[in-house]
Amino acid sequence: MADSLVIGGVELKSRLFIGTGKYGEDALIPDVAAASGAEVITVAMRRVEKGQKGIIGHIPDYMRILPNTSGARTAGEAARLARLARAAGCGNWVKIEVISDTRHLLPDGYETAKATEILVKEGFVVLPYINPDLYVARACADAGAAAIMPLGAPIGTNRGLQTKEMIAILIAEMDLPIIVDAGLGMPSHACEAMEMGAAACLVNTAIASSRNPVQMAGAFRQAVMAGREAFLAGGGAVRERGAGAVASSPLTGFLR
Amino acid sequence: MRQFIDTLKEWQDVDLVAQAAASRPDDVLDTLARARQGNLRPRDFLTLLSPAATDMLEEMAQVANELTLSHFGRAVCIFTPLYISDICTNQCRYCGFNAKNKQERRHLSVDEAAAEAFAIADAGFQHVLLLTGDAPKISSPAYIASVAARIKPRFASVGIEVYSLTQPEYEMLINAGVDSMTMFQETYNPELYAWLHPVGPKHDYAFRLEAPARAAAAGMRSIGIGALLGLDLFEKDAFFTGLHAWWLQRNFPGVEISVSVPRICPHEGEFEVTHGVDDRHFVQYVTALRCFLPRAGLTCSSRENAFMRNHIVPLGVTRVSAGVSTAVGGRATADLHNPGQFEISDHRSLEQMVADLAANGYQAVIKDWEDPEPETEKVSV
Amino acid sequence: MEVIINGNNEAGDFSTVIELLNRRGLDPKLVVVELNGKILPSADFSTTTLKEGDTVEIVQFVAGG
Repeated sequence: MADSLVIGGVELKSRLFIGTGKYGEDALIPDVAAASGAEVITVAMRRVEKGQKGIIGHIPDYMRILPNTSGARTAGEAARLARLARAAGCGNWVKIEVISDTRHLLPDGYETAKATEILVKEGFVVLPYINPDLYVARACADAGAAAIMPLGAPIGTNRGLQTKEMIAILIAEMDLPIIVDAGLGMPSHACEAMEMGAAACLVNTAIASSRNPVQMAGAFRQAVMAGREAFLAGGGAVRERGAGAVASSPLTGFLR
Repeated sequence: MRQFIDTLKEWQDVDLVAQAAASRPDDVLDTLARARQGNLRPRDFLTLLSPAATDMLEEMAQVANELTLSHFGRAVCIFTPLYISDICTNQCRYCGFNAKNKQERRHLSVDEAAAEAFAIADAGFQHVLLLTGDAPKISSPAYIASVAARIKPRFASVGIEVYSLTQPEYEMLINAGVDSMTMFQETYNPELYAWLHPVGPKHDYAFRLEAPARAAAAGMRSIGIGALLGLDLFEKDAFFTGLHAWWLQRNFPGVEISVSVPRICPHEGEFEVTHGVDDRHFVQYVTALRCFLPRAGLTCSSRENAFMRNHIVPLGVTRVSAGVSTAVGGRATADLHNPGQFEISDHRSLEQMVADLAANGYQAVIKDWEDPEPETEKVSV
Repeated sequence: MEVIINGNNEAGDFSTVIELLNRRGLDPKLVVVELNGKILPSADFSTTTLKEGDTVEIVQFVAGG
């Protein structure tokens, strides 16, 4: 049985999603994409400013565009951005990002759940970006989200799986694919997320800000694959020293 | 509404006994190591019910004890049952209330039931469990609600263990003050179930199976389930009970789920008990449940004797009964002629139970929960 | 005629939306236009004329994570 990731009815072969933000040169993106093996790539939506070219020209045709709603501070603003993105004709997927915290860029779970509900009803394939909060995740799932995207650490911090315990709970309790997004700074972080059972990882800053983004993209590709294989193989449990030894005051001695 | 039967069907073609038998000691140790992280899945539960695990009870007990201490500390809740009617239209082959048994039956009026309940409250109990036989015209939902509403002011918690009801009926009972419900599937084996319950409303396997889900959807705060161990093969009913509790926890995350672990007595009922569960398997069941469901309550009734009940508490049991009578009446008045539903092995009073628990380092919790809005709707019969 | 384009008041001779995009050197296939709060289908770019006081948002995909 093939190990496939299906989101919104689409089968994906790669469990690494990448972003287009923060690159020194957007012209790097096609090579980064190729090295990463990614099929899904995020973009943002902004007003056209004089002299600023859009990003679409740099994205290979085979990739699926995942527009985010960055800039939105409310569910209504996120919905508007999603509709604009869909009107651009690159599909109906949307990553909901609702942030009104400029210090840490933490997402607003309440507004995100509301936006999920609005946009699912309008036929979008919705991937909400959230703090790893089980209640928010459930609200998004009940509203029809196609996946859940919990953060590993605040955007851009590269600090890895700071929220590991909470992500583990989401993986254990939710039936939807869990895509760890934000904060993954090193391939080992992404590998660890996949070993835990995450469905995929989204990596932007770690690749874009690396001295050699193409090389780093290749490293992340391998890390995500390694983590997934390890998860499927079923890792040996961490045993405590002396596991299996029987304590001196047995709890079951009364049975003899 | 989501139904447990859909999940149950996913396991229909799995040979549980063979799968369990294939588990090796290393599999059990690996599973126990992961149990400490609290992420076991149903397959893991089956490993803990395996013959390999039966030989590793001390290891199972150590992990179960750790998990119980983490999630429940050394506190054990005390409750007592109150049978208010033993009139029954079912002919369950294993039950003392079988309609074919020609004994004196009693159905308490609301006033009489209240008097019994107040005697229980006077004795110090705060959690009471109302039980009736399966006779919906006589022990109607409205009757049960009337009793609950009348006695609620004297108790922190009023639970019910009665025949299967519809969701609106559970809602009505919740409005009357009921906060917990217990429903034993007896056995999850449909063919065996049909044979054991040949006559009466209880014959409807599917309706009973979804009763806990209906109660949860109605807003019941606590729900207890269980199989009667010894009816079907150990691995099967033990596994399906754990699966049912796990499913309820995942689908109704706001509801407190508990599992009861009654074992059938060898001479109970009109048939020979071929899959009786010995003490080792009983301990295995309790510890496996605790490892699989670290936060589920585990209730052990007075079907078990004092010796077993004392020793099973550190292994995961968090709720026990005391001052038990399974006959109708006889507390407020010395008026007791009818036989009980099952034979009681542990006759300790509330005081004795509290003292014995304390002697073992456990605190008896008489009152665990109180409805913040104690004014309940008066329901008339 | 005065219209608001991407939040800025602009005065000038405005005719159709397609003409506005052409004047700005924008490829109509790569942008999305919102006119008075509603998304304007690209099929309507050449037939929609701007009026006094219209609010126009022209957006495109940009880099983002």
